Amino acid sequence: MVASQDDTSIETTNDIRLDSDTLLLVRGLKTNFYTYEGVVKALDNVQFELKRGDTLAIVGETGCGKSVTAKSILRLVDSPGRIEEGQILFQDVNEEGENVIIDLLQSTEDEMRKIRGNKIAIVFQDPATYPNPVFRIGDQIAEVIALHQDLSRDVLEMKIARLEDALRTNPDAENVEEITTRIEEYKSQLDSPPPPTDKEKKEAAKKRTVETLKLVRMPSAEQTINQYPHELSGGMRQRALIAMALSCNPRILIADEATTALDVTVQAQVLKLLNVLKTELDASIIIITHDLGVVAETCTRVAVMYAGVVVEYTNTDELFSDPIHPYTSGLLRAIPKITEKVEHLLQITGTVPNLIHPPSGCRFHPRCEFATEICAQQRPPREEIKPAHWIECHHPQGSMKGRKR
Amino acid sequence: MTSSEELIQVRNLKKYFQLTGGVFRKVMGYVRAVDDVTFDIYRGETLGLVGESGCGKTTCGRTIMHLIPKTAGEIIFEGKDVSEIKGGDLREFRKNMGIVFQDPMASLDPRITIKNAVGEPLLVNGIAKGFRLRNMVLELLQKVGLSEDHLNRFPHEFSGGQRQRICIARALALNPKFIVMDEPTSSTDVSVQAQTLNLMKDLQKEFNLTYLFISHNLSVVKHMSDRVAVMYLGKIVEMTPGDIFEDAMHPYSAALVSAVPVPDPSLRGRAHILAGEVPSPINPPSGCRFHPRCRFAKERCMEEIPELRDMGGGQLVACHFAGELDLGYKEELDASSTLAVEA
Repeated sequence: MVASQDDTSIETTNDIRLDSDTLLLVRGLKTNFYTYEGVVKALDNVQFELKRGDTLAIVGETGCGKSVTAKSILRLVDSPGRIEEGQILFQDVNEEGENVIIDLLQSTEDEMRKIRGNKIAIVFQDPATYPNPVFRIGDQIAEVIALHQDLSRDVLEMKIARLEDALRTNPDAENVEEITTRIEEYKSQLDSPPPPTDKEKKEAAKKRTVETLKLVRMPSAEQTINQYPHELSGGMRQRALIAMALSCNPRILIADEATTALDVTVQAQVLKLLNVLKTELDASIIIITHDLGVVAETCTRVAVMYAGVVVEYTNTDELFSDPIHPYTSGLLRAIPKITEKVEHLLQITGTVPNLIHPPSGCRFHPRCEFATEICAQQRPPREEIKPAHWIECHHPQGSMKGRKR
Repeated sequence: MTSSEELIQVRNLKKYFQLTGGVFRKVMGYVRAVDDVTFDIYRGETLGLVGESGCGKTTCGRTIMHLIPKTAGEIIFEGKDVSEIKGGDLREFRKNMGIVFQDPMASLDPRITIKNAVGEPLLVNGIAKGFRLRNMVLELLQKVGLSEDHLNRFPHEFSGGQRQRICIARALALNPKFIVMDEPTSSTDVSVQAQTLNLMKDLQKEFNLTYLFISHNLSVVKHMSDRVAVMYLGKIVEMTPGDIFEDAMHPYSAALVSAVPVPDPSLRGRAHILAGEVPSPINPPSGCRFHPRCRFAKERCMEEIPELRDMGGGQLVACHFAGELDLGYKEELDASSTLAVEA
């Protein structure tokens, strides 16, 4: 599953420095699928970074490798897929509050299990298939919380609250003294709480579940935890999934086409919710989508993917005002606009290539109107053509048109 | 492009689906998928039909084609009531209509070659067979941008966009006057979608076709249509020959329009987010069906069902207060505006 350890070209994680606001750096990521028909080169040298507080969009058409990128980050690529090389550097804060850098591709499966759902969480596309239909919504979320979070302090606080409650409702009880000493005893343990029993843990997890559901604005959260997925509508189910993903306060939330199956009005609700939660929880979001409208409305940075390659990577305003890669500008012109009515849409000719035999050189060259000989021979290098605007193209367009290399 | 001659007149069309339950399959209730819908489709135009899932768009299209029997109302095609036509006449009549479905993989038989799939309507109707059939099929395929060597291939050998073109070719086979496009591009990618939309526009001009274009994608509908009808819970709430993005007058159309993500960051943050979700069509709300989610709902909306009223310029709106409301969906809202929470 992981890039081979003896590959000397990969530096060890200790040598790498990241800017303090870089949360995730994906570098040279290559993922292949070994199918009967041949090797599908799904990702080839994918590179982008996620800054703290950013909403990054990974946008592209079907089969361009968006979801494989997300799954590679979490190392969830199933057989026959394999991550061949690259680095996925995740900047985490350890228990002492220091920044540590973890290469997710070098981590052990045990370490990954602590990261998945806890530090980096994912919401999948189809809310109809993802919550397990035979378990209650609340139990599914509580399971994640109980697995990842240390609930001993929660348990203790719950006990204290209950005792204080008892004191308040019945201040003249015989055992007042006993209760107050108990409270004192529990309070003294708060800094190093004793391990709770399973039953206590369950109760605390349930309490947190309700809190998370309230966080995602689930109406009547207390009732929802006892419902099964089929009892909820599509939008509510998606909210429950987001709650599940957010239950452990992840640092990164990946939303893999999380709103694609929803109607526009519900989609608008969910997208707005995601952005509000991002600030509330101080998390960063990666939104994977094929809808450039969603990108423009919600994201701060964009990585445009085509056939397993990030062809353009920049901030949102820049991408829409000055698209430099021919694929990006073609894509933008192919969408029907609401602000103007044209007789004919500009179309990108041809179809997405088969990645078992990807085109040589630049993978977009067979469909590109500007392609020349060099495009078929050489893969264009990744370069920063303008400040914070990376592309992979021999013939940049837009404001960089005609520029000599 | 629009001439005022009606090709299809739909009058008070209703389609209820029975809900049965219990041991004896007793009728428990009705899903009012299409409930009292009236509109005309003019010759040569494209009527766009938009709405959220479950609002009855598809049912409406299929009922018009008489693929599913209507519950009540009239569908008049070129002066003839469709439901009066029976038996052999119906087959003859159906030549006038074609349909393109949403999922091209599901609407093409995986075991039948493209030649046979596109040629089947011609064969069944006794129009051509043998070599003549092959040539007619080839001509159709060339019309949609496919070539001779595609003839003997199977559906799985084609990409999504090509499959959708095959479906379009099949719908065109009998030289129909009217085609229902039921979400033809919702399963294709943007770059391919542009190809398909352009093709459909070209074909419309070439064959003088009339389209009923059903989609949930408002920008696509706007691009394709001469007039747009907005459906909500089985009713048409607004119908406009103008630009639905500019002059929506029904609060629902306005909310729908504002919820569409626009690929232009400078327009960010306009949305008046519509709270809640579409109620069940089994027990639709009383009065105006939109009132539980409407920002402007008053008492009258709960009791009285609003009729479609002409607001001038052929724009029909089913709202008691149409024209009196400041929908304000174009103004910008600051980012701190309240988050929609279900009431």
